[in-house]
Amino acid sequence: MIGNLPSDPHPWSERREAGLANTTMRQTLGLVTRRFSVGKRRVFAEDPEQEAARRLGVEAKRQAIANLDSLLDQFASKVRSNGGTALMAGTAHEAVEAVRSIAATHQVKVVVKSKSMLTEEIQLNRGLEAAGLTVLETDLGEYIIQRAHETPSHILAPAAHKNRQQIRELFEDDAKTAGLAPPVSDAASTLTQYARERLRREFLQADMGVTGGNFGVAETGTVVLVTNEGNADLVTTLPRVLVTVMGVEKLVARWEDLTLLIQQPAMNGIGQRLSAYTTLISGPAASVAEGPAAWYVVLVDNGRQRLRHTVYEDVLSCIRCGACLNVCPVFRQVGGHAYGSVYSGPIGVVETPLLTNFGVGAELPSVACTMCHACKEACPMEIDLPGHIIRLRQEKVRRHLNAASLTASYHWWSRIWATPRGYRWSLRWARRLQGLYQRQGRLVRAPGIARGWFQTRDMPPVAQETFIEWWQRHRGGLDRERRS
Amino acid sequence: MSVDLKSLWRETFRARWEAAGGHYYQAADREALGSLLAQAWGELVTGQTLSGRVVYWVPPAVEDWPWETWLHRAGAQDLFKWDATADMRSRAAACDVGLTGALWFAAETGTVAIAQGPTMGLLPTVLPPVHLIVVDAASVVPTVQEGLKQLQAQGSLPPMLKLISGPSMTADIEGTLVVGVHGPGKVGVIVYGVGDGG
Amino acid sequence: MATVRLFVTCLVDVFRPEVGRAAVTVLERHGDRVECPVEQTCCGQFAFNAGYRQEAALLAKHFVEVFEGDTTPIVALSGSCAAMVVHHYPELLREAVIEERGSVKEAEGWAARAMAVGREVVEFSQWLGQGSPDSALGTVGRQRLALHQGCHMRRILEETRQPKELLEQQGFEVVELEDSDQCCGFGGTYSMTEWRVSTALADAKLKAFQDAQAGGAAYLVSSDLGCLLHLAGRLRRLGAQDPTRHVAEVLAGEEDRP
Repeated sequence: MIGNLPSDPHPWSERREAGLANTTMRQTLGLVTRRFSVGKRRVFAEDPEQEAARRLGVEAKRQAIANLDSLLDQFASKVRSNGGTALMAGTAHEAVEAVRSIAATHQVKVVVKSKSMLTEEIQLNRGLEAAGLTVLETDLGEYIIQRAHETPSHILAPAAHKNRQQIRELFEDDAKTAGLAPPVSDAASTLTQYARERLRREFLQADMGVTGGNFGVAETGTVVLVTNEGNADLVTTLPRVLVTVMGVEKLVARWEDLTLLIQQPAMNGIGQRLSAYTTLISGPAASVAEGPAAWYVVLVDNGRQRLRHTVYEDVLSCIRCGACLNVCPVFRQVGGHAYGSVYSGPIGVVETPLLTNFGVGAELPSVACTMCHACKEACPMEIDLPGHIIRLRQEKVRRHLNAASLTASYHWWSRIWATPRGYRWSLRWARRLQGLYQRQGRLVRAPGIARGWFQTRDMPPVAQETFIEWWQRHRGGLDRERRS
Repeated sequence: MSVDLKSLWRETFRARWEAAGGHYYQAADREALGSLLAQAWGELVTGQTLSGRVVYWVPPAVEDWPWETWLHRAGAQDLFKWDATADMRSRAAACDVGLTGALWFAAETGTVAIAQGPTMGLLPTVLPPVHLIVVDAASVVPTVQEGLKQLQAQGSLPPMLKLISGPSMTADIEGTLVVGVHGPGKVGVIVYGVGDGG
Repeated sequence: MATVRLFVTCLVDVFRPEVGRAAVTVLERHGDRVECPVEQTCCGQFAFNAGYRQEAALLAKHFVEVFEGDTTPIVALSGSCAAMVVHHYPELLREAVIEERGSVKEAEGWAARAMAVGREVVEFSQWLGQGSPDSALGTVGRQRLALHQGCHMRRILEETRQPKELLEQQGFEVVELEDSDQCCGFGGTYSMTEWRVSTALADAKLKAFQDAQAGGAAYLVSSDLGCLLHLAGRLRRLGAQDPTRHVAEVLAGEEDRP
């Protein structure tokens, strides 16, 4: 089944320009992505045995994808025997409907959420609000962008595009409607304190908590959540109903597999050995003292299983650590919004068109990758991101999704340069014509697909004597002598 | 052999836990625990504008120790013992200090494991701005992996298990690190029984 | 005395032939007998990275035909082009031939031929670095150089020692750029179709080089001319001198040539 992802109506060029123009975002992303990457190198250097765990973890994830059908059954029945309820949702729509009907069954009015990319993917908030529910994001970054009616710009730093002054203004408006004292300064600690107090009230009134899931363990029916703020811990233990919405690909077979993987998101994504809070849920609460009295797990496919048994299958092992975003040069420049998809950075470039069969983000493989391979080096799950980006570019050629001028250029250029005669002929013509495009001995413009280069850069002209021509003139005879 | 190993693990735990922003105390024996609690209170609670209300539960094995006396002596005003038969939400939310036990603590990551259970709750770990954890010195494990394996080997998993590796924190505003977002900004681990050969 | 075949690369051949001449000088000082198969054109990496598989395969087949049937080392004047031949050719040709001809046998044949050629390919500074550390190239390096390690040299060839060690052995002082592992933004076709992002990345790299210059670095040196043309082109457009030098030029002692 082909997945359904939300898409940004603005074209790439507008999204890119908005990203390049947002200096706050570029500064913040520059700071956090480098801090995360440096931290990652440090923790792996200090605990080299984690490298062995990572490798075994990759194997466990690959195995789980191979056996996904039986793992899904095993997980669901284990959750049931632990006292919870597991539901399968094939599409984004089905997933939202499942959560809505749970909310209706339990007469829920207020929902608190911890950060979940999947709920962004299925646009759960919109679906629940349409049913008359109040939905509050509780991750600080998510809360900020919810107030601004925006979407995350980095999976680990969702509000990286906002500066302190902007956040203070958002909170001042919020304080008016909530009847609270506004934050007294724009210091990060003051703004954080405001959000803590503001959300505390909502937490205590909430009937239902919604979380994502970082891992699911089939053997034990356990869901694992990692956060640093502790918000997921309030979401899971305060409301009487807890709903975990999780992609089917998050399952691993055994508890032991989890032990290999549990540190990987934090180690690779933010350079911590483990997130400050890791929560493992295996059933509803044991007493009435705290929540949840009822626990549901909604397992969402939305285009994922379609990738099994294809060359792209390894994409399903993504643990959403964000390591590929942190090292991606394009991501650092344009930020997450420019991708126009819930999933940004290299994994978003690959996953968005794959899940939607090029319905969303078809432009991404071409526009958002310099082919530098930093993501491949960074990915703890050894996903062949640059290889997939090339494959998706090839797929675009097959589907005629590129500009006709680009395709025509490559068609003729490759045919002409595939013979030495054609190569030399093309250079002779270039020497004849390049006078039209020169200033002070430099090429300053050019026709065709090369035009973009000359928007911002010069180029030396085609040499009057190429190296090979020079070689033939000076060494050609000598070479032949030696070879014979 | 195992004695040395465990004290090494505790040292590693201490280094990692403190590096993450946590506080660490260890008591040689039961008698020292009371004064350590007072010390922790002085460092983590006193000075903040807190009312000194405490919600707490301790592991069954040490339930008969004089926790109330110690806490009062440390500076606690009101004490709410965790009651699994009543709704504890608003009561825990009104407290400034949560005191809980723990299953085990792990060296490599500086992590404390706390389970939900019939007499143990998780709200005290996250609602109050200060969280104090008392844990048996003998329960130290080298890694989270090891702790999780032991847990599984015991047969049944708790409905909810929490692994805490430092105070609640965020860098969501311009990448600036701030502690105490939704959970406690101050976390202290008090290890007891260090002198028992644990 | 070893015989080597020069894999010139199209960018050196067409836009900076002096790099090729410098490479010949250095290789001969190194004691190598240099040959240059004059039928070579381009490895096809531009087309491959842009997703034009059949087009890339045309150029790859030509490259294989020019260089196969001989086991003398093929010394490449670009880390990126070396990576293309060594690491991408076999799969590229296998898939392209299956797609075009439907024959697994033919595809495997081409893949095997590509692999045989790939086994001989070595990047210029890697080749020179294989010798004993004291193998004099006759270079008297006195300057401080800022090194830009191209992404494919770094991550596909996984070469982190060269050309740094080689340059240091010749007396140069090599400094790393801030954020040295971040791409310069070239990316082949990407630099044309996505020139806005590409240029932003070039500017970030040039900012780092500016800092290195303030610290005394005289030139920006790389094993990859693609990156250098991109960065030099940007500087020239901004009205600055071209401080970029291929590692061969520096080793030949020709870095001062304007």
